[in-house]
Amino acid sequence: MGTQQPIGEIVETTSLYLVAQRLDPNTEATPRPVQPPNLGSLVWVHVPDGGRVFAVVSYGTTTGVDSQRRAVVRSHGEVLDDRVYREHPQLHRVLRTIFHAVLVGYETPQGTLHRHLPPQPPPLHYAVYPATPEETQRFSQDMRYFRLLLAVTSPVPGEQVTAAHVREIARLHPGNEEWVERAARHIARLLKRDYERLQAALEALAP
Amino acid sequence: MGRRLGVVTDGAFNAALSVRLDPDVNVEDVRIGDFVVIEGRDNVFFSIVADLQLKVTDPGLSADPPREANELLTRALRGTGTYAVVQVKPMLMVPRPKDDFVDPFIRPQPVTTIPGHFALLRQATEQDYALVFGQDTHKGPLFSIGKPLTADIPVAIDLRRFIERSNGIFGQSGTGKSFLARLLLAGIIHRNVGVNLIFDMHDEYAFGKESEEGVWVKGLKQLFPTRVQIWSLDPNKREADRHVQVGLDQIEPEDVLLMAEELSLTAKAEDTIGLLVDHYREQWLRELLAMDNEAIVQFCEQSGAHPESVRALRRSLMHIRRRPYIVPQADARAVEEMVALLNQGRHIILHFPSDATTIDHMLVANIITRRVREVYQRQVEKYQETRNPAYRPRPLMITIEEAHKFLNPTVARQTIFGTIAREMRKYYVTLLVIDQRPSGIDREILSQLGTRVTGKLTEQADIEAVLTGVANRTAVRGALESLETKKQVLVMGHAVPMPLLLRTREYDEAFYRDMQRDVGEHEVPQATPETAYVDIFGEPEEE
Ligand SMILES: Nc1ncnc2c1ncn2[C@@H]1O[C@H](COP(=O)(O)OP(=O)(O)OP(=O)(O)O)[C@@H](O)[C@H]1O
Ligand SMILES: [Mg+2]
Repeated sequence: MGTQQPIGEIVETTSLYLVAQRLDPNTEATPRPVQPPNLGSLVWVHVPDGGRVFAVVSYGTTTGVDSQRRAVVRSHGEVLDDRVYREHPQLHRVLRTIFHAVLVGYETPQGTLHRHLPPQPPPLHYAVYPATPEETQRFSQDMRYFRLLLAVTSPVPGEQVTAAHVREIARLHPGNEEWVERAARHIARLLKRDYERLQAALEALAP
Repeated sequence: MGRRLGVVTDGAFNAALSVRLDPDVNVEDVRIGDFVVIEGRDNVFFSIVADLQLKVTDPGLSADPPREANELLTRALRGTGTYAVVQVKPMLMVPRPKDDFVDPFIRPQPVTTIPGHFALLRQATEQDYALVFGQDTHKGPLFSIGKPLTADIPVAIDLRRFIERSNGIFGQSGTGKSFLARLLLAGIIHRNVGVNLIFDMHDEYAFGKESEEGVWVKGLKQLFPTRVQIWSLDPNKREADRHVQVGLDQIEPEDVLLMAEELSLTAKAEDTIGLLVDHYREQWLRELLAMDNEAIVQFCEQSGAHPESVRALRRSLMHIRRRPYIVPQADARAVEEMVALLNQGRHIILHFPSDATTIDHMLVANIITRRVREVYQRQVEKYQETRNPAYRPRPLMITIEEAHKFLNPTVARQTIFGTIAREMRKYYVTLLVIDQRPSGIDREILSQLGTRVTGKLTEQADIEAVLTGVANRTAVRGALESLETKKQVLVMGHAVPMPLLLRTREYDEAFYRDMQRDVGEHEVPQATPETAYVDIFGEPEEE
């Protein structure tokens, strides 16, 4: 950890999830659209006692700073897509990217991982870091936290968040079919009484 | 430890226990009738698989099963949303060994409780089989008769318990009844637990026989040349140790009346025979057959019989007179001689000629059995009076094929076979009945059969008949219905602690070698024929 750059700052916090604003990675020289972290990716936050809280990205959105008003159309002629940003290098100051992440566990200062809700919500204004592929792999060995992901109801349904999470890990660790298989079975066990959602989740997993 | 199969989730003592199979156990690895073990907290339960069921957790799954294309979904569902349940019936239990100390004297007992939730179900191991069924040590009464369907472990039955009661071997044609009977008879001879009188109606027990697979298999005489005696009704059978004749004076009215149908007797026959017996005593048949027209008229005048009825009866009974083994008067001591041999530990096969008919089978089997039992009865009474172990008769098992002819509901009350089956082992005589259609046998007789070994049966009536008087019928019925058409049997009853499905032991060279090894070890001291004859039987008339 340590060497990583934060990707967001917590702007709303609860026992179940956090809402963070994406920190702007742009320099004036290469302006690009500001995007939330991948749906389903694992992030973490330092907590005051020295441990870390883990969360899975469950939603992302970019709007104007004044959320009451829609953004203004800026494309014209050949100026489309990322050229819009280059033409308006100040754009990022009037746009705001927000993401939600579901709390799925925490790490004690001694390094023990727990895959249930942390005792405290992560503090407001703390920085949100992306988990490295190694951290993600370590955290996802035990899938008990899938239950927390599946419990999400809005804005994105839990089975979609869960499927996105599994896809994200599969992308980080290609060739890990055995883990995906295990994850699918785990989801099937958790959704044994809800075939509709199970189908939705596993269809979203199919390559 | 046998392989883990699942955990108990539900059930009732009076029904069966539901065990949810583990997701990694293929339901096809579990068979109806399998012997399985449940590990309770304080007891180990020996059980059989009574039923297999497929379940879904969400009814939507049955309505809209996953498409073939979605393999991930299908695989993920296996053991999660879809799972299998095994219905298991505990039969016996033993206390779980404490601190790894296994008490060698502890025997499995009938169940009086059930294991709790999530008790583990596993496959039985060789030790489990040995604990429940014991092991064939080549000596003693435990005799291996087959192996379980899913394991390569010989399973033994207790031959001493077997011959304590009358028994049945059932199954449709070709399931292996005669082969199995030969195995059991060989076991009884080899372990010397009793003596046999075998009515060999289809010439398959005494000498070799060609199997359906085209090999010649050995007969009992070949396996145990000195211990088995062949008595033949066929005067031309050279290999026979003795030729048997039946005297007309030995035929009793019941012997004839039992075959009313086969002999096409009229309704009047019984009365007419009654009059003949009043007149001529045991010579009734001989006299009747010797009558000419004049004699008939004369007899009718004296006795009040109807001449037409007498003529009809005579015509019907002439059939008997023409049988090659029938003589006017036979050596009355033949049966005593037979029993004397049995008392010496010899086994007797009564061999019928290949053209023998039902009439021959019934007539001879009834007459001989009745007399043998009479002698046995006297012997038992003498033993009980004197308490002298020297008079203690050897348990005798009488084997009959096509048993329904002797034990169907119409005749079972009158034949000697019905009597033997009903009075149990009071007189040390029991039956081994072999039949394709157990439903043809009287219910009361069926319920008396101690051990039943059953091959495949298709008719529901036959299945019900075999299960007459069996506890846990529902659990056993599934096993019975799942049998294959050959060399698979369900054994249940007195000689086994619990019902079990088996692949029958092969009757082959290896078996012959086993049977010919150590026969001498069980040889019992022989009484000299004279003493046995005089001491035990005396002259019946003088008693
Ligand atoms: N234990 C066994 N060992 C070897 N072969 C066997 C055994 N049991 C059955 N068979 C084979 O199956 C065939 C049929 O068996 P068997 O003659 O005993 O049938 P069954 O039940 O007596 O038939 P049926 O009712 O017609 O008399 C045999 O000829 C033999 O090939
Ligand atoms: Mg046969």
